[in-house]
Amino acid sequence: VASRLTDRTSPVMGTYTYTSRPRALPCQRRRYRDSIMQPAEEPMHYGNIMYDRRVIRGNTYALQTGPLPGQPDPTEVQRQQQAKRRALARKRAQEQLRPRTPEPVEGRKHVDVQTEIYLEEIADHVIEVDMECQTDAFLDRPPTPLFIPAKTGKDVATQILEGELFDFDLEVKPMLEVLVGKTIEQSLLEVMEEEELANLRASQHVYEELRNVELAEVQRLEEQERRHREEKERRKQQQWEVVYKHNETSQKVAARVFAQRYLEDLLPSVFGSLRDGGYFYDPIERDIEIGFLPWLMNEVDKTMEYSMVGRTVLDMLIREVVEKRLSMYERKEDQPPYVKPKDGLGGPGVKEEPLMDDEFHEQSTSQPQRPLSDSDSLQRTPSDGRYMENVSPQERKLMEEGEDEQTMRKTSGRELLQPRGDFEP
Amino acid sequence: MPLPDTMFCAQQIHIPPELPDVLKQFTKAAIRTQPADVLQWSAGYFSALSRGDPLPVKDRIEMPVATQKIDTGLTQGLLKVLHKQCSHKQYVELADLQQKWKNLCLPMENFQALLQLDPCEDKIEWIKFLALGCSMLGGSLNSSMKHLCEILTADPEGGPARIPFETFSYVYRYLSKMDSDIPEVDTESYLANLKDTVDSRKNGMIGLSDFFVLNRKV
Repeated sequence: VASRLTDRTSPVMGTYTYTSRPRALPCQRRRYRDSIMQPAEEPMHYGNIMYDRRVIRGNTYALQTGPLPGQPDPTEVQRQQQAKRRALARKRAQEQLRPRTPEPVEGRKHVDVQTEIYLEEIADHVIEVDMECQTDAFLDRPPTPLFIPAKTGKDVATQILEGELFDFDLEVKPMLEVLVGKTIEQSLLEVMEEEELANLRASQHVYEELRNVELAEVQRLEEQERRHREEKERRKQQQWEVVYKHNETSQKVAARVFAQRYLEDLLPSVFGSLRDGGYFYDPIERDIEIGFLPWLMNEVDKTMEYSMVGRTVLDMLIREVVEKRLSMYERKEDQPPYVKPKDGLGGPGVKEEPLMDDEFHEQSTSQPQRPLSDSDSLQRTPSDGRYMENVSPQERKLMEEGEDEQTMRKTSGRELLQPRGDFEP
Repeated sequence: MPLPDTMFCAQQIHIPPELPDVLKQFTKAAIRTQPADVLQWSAGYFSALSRGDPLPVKDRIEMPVATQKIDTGLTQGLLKVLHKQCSHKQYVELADLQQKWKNLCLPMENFQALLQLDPCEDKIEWIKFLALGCSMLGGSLNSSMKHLCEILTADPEGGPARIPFETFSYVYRYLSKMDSDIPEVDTESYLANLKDTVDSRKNGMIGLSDFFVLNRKV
């Protein structure tokens, strides 16, 4: 109604216009099935959203938890549930009272049977069939049909005879012109280019040849120059060496001459000093010293030894004789003893002893005999003189010789030989 | 591809793709060789091309010398061409050689004159013919040897024209034999001298500088 009020058509001008105030349109699409109970049309109530009780305003964290005015109370709910239960119980009780068909007889069973003409399958399961439907895939746009315009005009015919339409020579002429002309032009150009290149290359080669020749020449000259220089260097070097050697040689010669002269006196003086020092020996002297004298000494020693041996033997003889005499005297002790020669014997005997002792000191062989000789001489002194008389001249000789012997150690062998000669027979 | 029976337009004329190339090569050869008679020479060129033989083409452009009939018209370049064509065989048939000579548009009198220097039956040793041609080019023995070196060498142009010493000595002996002025002793001594120089280089090749001294203008 409001819309109609706002609608207005244009005033009487002839053009058609229409305006209307904006208004909220109700949703045209039906969301839910047509419900039987709902009336066909209902006036749409719309109100301001600000004052709609369904919209919660304010803070939502302090809501009242009580039942909303639209919703029933919980007690109410319980009461309703109880009522439902009672109704259900009543219905059940009534059912039980309702008369039913009697139970089947023994051996039989009740079966539900259809009694109509056409049997019908009774099933709980609803027959469902899936059906699909789809629009066709996009078809290609069909090609545009050829546009064949309607035929207009008149048909006319004609005929071509052979040779009229096409004359080969005439047609081919431009082609040939192009072909031949282009060919000649191109080939001329190319030949010229090639010619130029070949000329360049040829001149390059010629130049290279010349250059090579000149290079060879230059190298040859360089070689020559180098060889000359080296030769010169070598010659100079050689000369230097010669001069140097020359100098050295002259120096050496001078040095040698000087040294020779300086040392001229050296040799005689050296020999003289050595000779003075006794480093040189007379060979004959040396020979005498080395060969002859030792032999001489040996011989002297030998002779001495002989004399010593002789004396020893003599001493033994004397002892034996004395012992025999002693024994003879002891045998002859009955006879009166002989006193006189005793002193003479004693003297020479006394003399004899120390001399003989001295002599025997110097001889090793008669060591054990010394005490014996002492005892013998001691024994002799109190006893016999006769025996001593026989022996005494010989003894005296020996004693004298013994005296002399000490001083005559180093004398010749002739004196030594004397006593030997005495003993030999 | 044979031409269709009826052709309607110029586009139907088919040019084989090799044709321009062949034409270009031919033109370049012609420019380089400068034959006196283009037709004769072209015939020779294409027949050699079809057979696969070496072509009678000069490597470097060389303006034709022969302006009159008196002059031989034989140039080093032409000899080189002949050498290129014939050098693969030791002996060449006279007929074949004559044909080649004609293809180069050289006068036949000269050919006969050359052959008379060293008469032979059917075949001629190619190197001998070359030597004779060289002698016709240059007046003296030395200059003909120089031409020979330049023709036979494998070195690049302008470089030291080197050829093996055996070839050189062979040709030298042959030419000096032809020329009765030079005694044989001289030839041998000359060759021996050259041989020493060559042996020192250890590659057996003799170059232009060894026997031919160019007087350089200062």
